[in-house]
Amino acid sequence: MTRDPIADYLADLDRRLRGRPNRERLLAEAEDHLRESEAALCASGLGADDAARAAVVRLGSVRDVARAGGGRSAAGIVLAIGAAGAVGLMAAAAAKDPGYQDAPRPALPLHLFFGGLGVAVLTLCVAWTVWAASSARATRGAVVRGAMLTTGMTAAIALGELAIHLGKQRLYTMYCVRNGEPPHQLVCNPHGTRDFATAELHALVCVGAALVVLAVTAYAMHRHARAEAARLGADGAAATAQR
Amino acid sequence: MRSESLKGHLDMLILAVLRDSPAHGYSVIQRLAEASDGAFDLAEGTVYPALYRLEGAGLLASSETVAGARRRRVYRLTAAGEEALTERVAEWRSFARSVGRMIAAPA
Repeated sequence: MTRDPIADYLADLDRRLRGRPNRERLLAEAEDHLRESEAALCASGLGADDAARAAVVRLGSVRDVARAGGGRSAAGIVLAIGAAGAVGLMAAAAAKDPGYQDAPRPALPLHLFFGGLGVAVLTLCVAWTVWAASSARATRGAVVRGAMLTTGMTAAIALGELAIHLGKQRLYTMYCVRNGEPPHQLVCNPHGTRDFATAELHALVCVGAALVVLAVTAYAMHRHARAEAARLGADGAAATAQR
Repeated sequence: MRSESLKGHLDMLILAVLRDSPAHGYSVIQRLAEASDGAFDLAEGTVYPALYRLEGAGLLASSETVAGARRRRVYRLTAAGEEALTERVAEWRSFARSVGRMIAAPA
């Protein structure tokens, strides 16, 4: 028994479109195109198998057709820029803070704050640019969700780093007060295990806050994707009702 | 005709093809090929990104119908699409006149 090239093509396209809100529409459109092309080629004298194969070849590769629906590339650009910004922030934080036992630098939270703000603004600018340059509704939706994710990640990282810094600054001040020395004239070296335990607690709070931000972001993205899928489905239903 | 030459004008050609009556994707490709006597025989997959782009820009609108047992998406020109087509046709005629003068054989 020979396999149907059109069914294979559509199955492959289905796999590649997984997770896209306009998946149903693209699949239906590709199937309609391929079946009509197959019928026309059959009518012109080709055998059924040859006609199906020729229809698939004429439409083009599955990858290109899936790409035509838009979405992943645009979201990928936004995410790549957001990820690069987040990595840059962490690298800057690591470079500014050479070791735990040293005193924290007062300027570090400001750097992180403005760095995080810069990444968020840059991400939104890129998202807007891609939005304006593209037109497929799926691309726009993916860009919005990409911007949500990037902004959420950036906020989580900035929040976490800020909390860590505040915790360390508190430890440093407590240590200096205990030793009767002005904080700005010495290098702190808290050896006590209790100090480390407190720092770990702050770190856990940071991780918790970051997870909450990420969970809220994921929920917002999920709601947005569902709303978009409902809108696309509503378009099709309205058209069917008009017939 | 080289497909590279055609790509820059694909949007205008699609708008022109849909000016008279709505059509689905396969029919748009067929109309392009027939109206140009086969000169515009495009790779079929290249038409869909243009259709989605034009729809997103508000120059086309689409609706779903049922053809036999299959769902079919039919595209039609919007008012903005008609305006855009008029502008692009005027630009193209001006461009073609200029190119024609440039390549005209010397008297």
